[in-house]
Amino acid sequence: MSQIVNFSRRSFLKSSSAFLALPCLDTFAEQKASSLNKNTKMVFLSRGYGFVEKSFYPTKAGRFSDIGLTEGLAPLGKHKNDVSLLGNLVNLGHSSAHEGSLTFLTGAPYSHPYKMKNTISCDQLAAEYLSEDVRYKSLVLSTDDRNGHGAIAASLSIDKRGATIPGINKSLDLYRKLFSSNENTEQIRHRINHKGSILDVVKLDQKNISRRIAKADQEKLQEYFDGVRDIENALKRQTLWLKTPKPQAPFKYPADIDGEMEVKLMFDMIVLAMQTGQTNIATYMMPQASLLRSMGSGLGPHALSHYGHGERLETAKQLDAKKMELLSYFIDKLKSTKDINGQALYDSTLLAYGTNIRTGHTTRNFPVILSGGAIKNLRLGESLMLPRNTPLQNVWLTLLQECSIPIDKFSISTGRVPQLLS
Amino acid sequence: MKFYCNHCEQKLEAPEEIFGTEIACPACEQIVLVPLKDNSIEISSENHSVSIARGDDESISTQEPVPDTQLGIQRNKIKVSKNNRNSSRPSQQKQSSQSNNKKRTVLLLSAIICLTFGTYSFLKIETNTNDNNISMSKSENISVNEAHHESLPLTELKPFINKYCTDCHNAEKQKGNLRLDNVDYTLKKHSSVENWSNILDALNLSEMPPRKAEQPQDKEMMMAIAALTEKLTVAHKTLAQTGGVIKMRHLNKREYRNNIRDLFGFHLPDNFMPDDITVGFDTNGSNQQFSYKDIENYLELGKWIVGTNIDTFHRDWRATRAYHKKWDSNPTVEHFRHYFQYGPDAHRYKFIIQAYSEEDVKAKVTMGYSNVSKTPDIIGWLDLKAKKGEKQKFEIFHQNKKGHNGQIIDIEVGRAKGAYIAEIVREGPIREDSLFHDLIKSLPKKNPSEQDIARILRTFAERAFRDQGFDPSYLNGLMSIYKTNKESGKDVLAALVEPFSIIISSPSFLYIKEKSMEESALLNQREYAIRLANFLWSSAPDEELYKLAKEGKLNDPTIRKKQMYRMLQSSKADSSLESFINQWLGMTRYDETDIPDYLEHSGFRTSARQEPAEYFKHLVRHNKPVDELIDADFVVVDHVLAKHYGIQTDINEFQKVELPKGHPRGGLLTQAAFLVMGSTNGRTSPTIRGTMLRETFLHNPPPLPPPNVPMISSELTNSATVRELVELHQNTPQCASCHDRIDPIGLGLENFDYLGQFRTTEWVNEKDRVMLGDFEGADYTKWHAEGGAFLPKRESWVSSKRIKNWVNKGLAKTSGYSTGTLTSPEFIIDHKYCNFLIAGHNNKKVRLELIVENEVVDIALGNSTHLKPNHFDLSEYRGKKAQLRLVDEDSGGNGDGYRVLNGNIALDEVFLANYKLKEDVIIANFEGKDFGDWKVTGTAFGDKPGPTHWRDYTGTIASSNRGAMDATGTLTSPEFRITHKYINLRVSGTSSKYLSVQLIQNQKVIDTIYGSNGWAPRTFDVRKLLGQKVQIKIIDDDKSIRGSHHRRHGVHIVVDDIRQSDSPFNPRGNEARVEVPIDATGYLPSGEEYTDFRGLKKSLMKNKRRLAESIYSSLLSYGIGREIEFIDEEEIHQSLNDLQGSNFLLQDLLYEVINSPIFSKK
Repeated sequence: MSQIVNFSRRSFLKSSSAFLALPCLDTFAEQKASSLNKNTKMVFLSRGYGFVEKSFYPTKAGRFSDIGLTEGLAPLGKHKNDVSLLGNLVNLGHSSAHEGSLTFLTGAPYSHPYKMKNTISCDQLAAEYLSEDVRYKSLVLSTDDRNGHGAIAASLSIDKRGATIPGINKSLDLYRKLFSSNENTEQIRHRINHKGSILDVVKLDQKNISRRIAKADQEKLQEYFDGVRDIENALKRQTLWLKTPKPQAPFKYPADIDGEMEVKLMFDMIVLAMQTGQTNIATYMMPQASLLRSMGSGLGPHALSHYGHGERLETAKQLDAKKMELLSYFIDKLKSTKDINGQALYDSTLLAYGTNIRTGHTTRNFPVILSGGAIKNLRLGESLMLPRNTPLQNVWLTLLQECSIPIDKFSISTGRVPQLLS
Repeated sequence: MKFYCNHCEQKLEAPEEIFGTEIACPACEQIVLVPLKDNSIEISSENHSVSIARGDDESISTQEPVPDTQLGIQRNKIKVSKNNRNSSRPSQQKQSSQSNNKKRTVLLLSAIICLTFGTYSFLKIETNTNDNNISMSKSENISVNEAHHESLPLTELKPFINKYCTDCHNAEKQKGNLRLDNVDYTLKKHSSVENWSNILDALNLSEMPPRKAEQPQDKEMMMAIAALTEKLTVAHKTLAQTGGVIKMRHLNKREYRNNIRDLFGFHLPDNFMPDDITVGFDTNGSNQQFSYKDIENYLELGKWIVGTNIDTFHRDWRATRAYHKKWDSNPTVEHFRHYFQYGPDAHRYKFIIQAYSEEDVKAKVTMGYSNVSKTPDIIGWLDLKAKKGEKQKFEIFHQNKKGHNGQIIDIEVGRAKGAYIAEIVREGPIREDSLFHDLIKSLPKKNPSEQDIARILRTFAERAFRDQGFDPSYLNGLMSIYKTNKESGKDVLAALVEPFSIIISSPSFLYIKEKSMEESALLNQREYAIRLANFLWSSAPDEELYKLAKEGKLNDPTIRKKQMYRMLQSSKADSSLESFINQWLGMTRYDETDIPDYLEHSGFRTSARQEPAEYFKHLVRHNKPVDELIDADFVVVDHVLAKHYGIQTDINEFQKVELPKGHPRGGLLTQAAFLVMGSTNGRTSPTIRGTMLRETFLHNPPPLPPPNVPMISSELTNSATVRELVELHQNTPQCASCHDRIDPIGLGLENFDYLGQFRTTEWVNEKDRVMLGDFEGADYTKWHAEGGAFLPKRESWVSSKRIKNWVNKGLAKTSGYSTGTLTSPEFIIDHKYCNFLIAGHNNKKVRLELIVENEVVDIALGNSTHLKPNHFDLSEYRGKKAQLRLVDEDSGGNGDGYRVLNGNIALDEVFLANYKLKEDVIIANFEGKDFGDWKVTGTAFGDKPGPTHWRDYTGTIASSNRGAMDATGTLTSPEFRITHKYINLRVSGTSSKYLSVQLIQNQKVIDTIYGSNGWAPRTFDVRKLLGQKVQIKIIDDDKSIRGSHHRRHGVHIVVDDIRQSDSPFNPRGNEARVEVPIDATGYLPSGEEYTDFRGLKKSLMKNKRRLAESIYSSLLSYGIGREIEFIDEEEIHQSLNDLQGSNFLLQDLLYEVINSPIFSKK
């Protein structure tokens, strides 16, 4: 374990969970009545490579309180009645052994990972419905370290055009995004307007560059102007939120952080962002190599995913355990943090954690762990063996529908998975 | 037949051959199914449609080349006798004439024809695979005519499927809702590919056939899996074909930086931008992603670049900030340091260093950073020559990276005689001439008018937009931003930052525009110049190219060739050539491979990273044949690599060095970077090396690792040779089906270890040796402790200082007054001996017991503070169950919990083997009144062993702190004969390269151990020297007087407890190692065998057309920004045929690329 200098882990964690200043009450008060509970929150986390076959996966179905937790799942012990591990999943149309996250939330079919056109991810679909009253439509967190996620996977979230939404790769950037700087309203307004006029000039180039080019090129170029529009929309949203100041940072950004701290900081800030009503949706494509380094291992994530035996296998098991420890930490946070109604965030959150890769190069029967109280009749606390080859697309469809998102199909889904519900 | 695309309603026309297949609609790129005329999808054995597609040779070859306003499609070759060629490639001709006609439908037809051709090539590959059951597809010399005799792609699997699958999956019985009796063998549709992928999964996972059913033989299974894997790969590729359409692309990171360099004369450090996320070449538009975040980044970065360059105008041009420092010549100081505080402004500075030396020495110059905790960067080397009293001058450039505040310049001159630095001067920031600076300088100093501002913005935007113009409204927009900024109180230059930054963030700058409403149209001359400049310079054209384009002269073969030479010789070609070869080789893998720290710090990492690029640039600029990528009689290295390769030479920077005869290097595949990339976890990987060789040199990439193949789990890992490990792949058909054609290629490079060092043997763990307990884990692992004597956690050596000779970090030990037992897991006796190291009280109350079938049959006692080898003889108990039990029944002690000799016992390294460990033989423990027969020189060691000042260490030691602070000296043992496998010793003192223990044979230093801070167990591995005579020499040659105050005499070395032993102090693990000779035999996928790396190189030489094809088509792909597809193959084969006569010289190859019709088409 590396040393953390100038920073006490405990003091930081204490201070962040004690933070309860809620500057955004107004927006919630005006919520309209609808079947959609706009208080619903969703968090999707992805692991990249899979887990050690023998030590992680339960061999049978049943409640964890009866069958016990496997060695790999053991760190979730505290929450064993609040997590389910789904078995027998397939991601239809997924065909690569190294791309654990590329289509994890989209379920897009493809014949070659580098020639694919992705489709909207379930978090972004949900954000269309759940994010009207929040500052950020969603938080897309990611990492530069694409090990196990896929060579072209920049984040888990894909927009409706099929383009990857670039993630916030560093906790420091998220910190700056969530918490207030020292600008006053006028300064912010001026900054937003000025940026708008710069974009206006950039757009003046569109006529010129688009003149006399082929249709396929127009489409390629459209990515640029879609990007401009995305920034403009974000500016518009910022203008709407001008009067509501961002919360003050409840802690000072630590000076020196290691891989594990980075993940915990991201988790803490997801919880804070949800608690302060800044967003309802978050995805996080989690780092591998830096976490390994902070565990004191110099092994590479890919080499490790081939397990072997001896030190490598041991390290792989420790990494599995570390990942579950961090998940447990996150669930702890959700349970111990209260929203404006004094209710635990956990009760209104749907949490999904997983990857498209089971173990080594196996892409069938990959792990998805569900938790959270957003869906009241979700079966939790179980090793759930679904019918053989249940499409992941069907799982996302079912979960979104249970959160009252009005869709009847997700990607190439073939139906609902009633087994998820009691 | 005509039909409509069901996505975009575009009218399409398709030849009969592709009825019933799925194609990408040329208009909207969606997958559309070409309808069937009737229900049959049999491919006609007639080929008339193809002959239409390929055109009638005579009629088409007589067509005139297009007029000169467009780039000539006719190959403007210097070589003659092209008649055959023109007639052999009518499809390009036809397309060009069609595109001139600008008739949409005709164009679409041609696109479909391309697809048809793709399908036929594909079928052809399948046909070839049938020739030889498991041989690789031979795509060489595919000709369309051979496609007549195609069979359906997967029909060879029909017997397998019918034999093993259709019993359960047929019309009546559809187990798992699956029918395979009517399965589609064509692999033309997505659904069919998906279906077969599932079948492959079931085979790979051994799910099918079910266990109770008839099982295929391994060989059958292997063939089925191999065929299916290969064909699915091709099918995926086919379905992803675009028909040769180049997608508009934006500048990649390299091009952006070069464009900035050309516009601003400013070298943007490479960590100011994130790396491109790409697969394939970074020039490939269809793989590029672009999002709002990129726009924000470009705007932000643009502002910073312009701001930084404006900033230099607020300083005096060529301002010289001189720092002057002189040191006295001090032979004990090895470093010269000076502080140059400057912020993270990324300006470039020049350091002028003047130095003296009376000895040849290479002094390393590093730059340390004040705000990042990282090792200083090596920024240059001073190649000091022996010149008494003569000043030597060097210039070194340095530019800060993002987030780094440059601070300490450190010059390491070592201890060369008379070497010292006289002066360091820093000049800068350096401002290089550029368009931007010229424009800013052209502004009137006082109150420039708006016309002046508009003029410089216009001129800059014209050049930035590569002469392709812009709208007047755009300039007005820029002006309005300028005015707003000016009105808000900014000065003229500050107000210009944003307008300029907008220009370099606008799509006309960031995107490479090739005007054309049609795909595959010809480029105009300016567009050709831009493509050429991007290809060879990774930047925009210069004046000369723009001018030639304007004059329409780039069609002229002489001018074109002259331009190519000019561009290649320019240093501007460096980045493009380097980047090409690095991407071709897949060097990103290198960055992800771990190398040991000491190499990381020595500059090896960066030197090895650079070598392939330097080599390739040399080959290109000297117009060498492509086969020198495989082997050559020279290398291009710097002094770091020369040392790594054991080449005696006096060089500094990268340059060509002739190899001594018989030297194993030469060519790319024996370069350190290539070999390091082909390694994982500290061992070579023939699988990775084989994959790399197939991808690059053989131009025949193996399929991606398919999903759902089970992993091999082996207990052998450390005791098997690399060859034995990869041969495990042959045990299961699932693995062998692919690895059989990967691993044997890589095995040819087994002559090079994981760091690329030549070797003839490798070390592996002894196989017939079972470790029962090394006590290195966090606890006693499978040993069971009872009672209080054994602490729950293992002892670490820190708390066991009074025991000598422990191995590594952990051991099992009782402590204090407590009693208890520690019992091993049960084992079946299968070895002759149980060896262990034991220390402790000579008292039967503390003992190690051997228990056989619940009866104590033998005991062992410790009798020393040293762990000594001992053993139980197990020969009479073979086959019986046994356990070991460490017992402490002595509750006595002297109150010091760690004293072994008082009622305690310690144990380490318990293992079973068929040999017994020999007792250690002490060479010296320095416990006497003097050094005995050891020879002393100098004053550092005094005349007798000294008392240890280490609190927990008993007895006396050899220490070099006995003389004055800067005293030096040596201590040399008499000669002794090596009787054991290792020499173990304890070393302490200070870490310094002048403090060492040497192993000497015949006055020659065989091995060296350096001093270290704190007691460290060290080992000389002397297995190769068994029976020979050696000496040990302890050296203090460190004259410096640095050192912390609590050490009485500054820098010194301490040595004790030197002994011969069969059990090493091995920092990497404590298994006994054995040396086995390297077997580097292997074979190519074609079956061609070789016996070592030289044979491998020879085989690759024979296949050099493959290499030429690989380089040529990769260059083409890199140059045009799209992948090479089936449609291009005919053209490429023709080009290679042309080049063959000239032995594939690299400049000819490049010229062929820029002359290719493919290169001059949109």
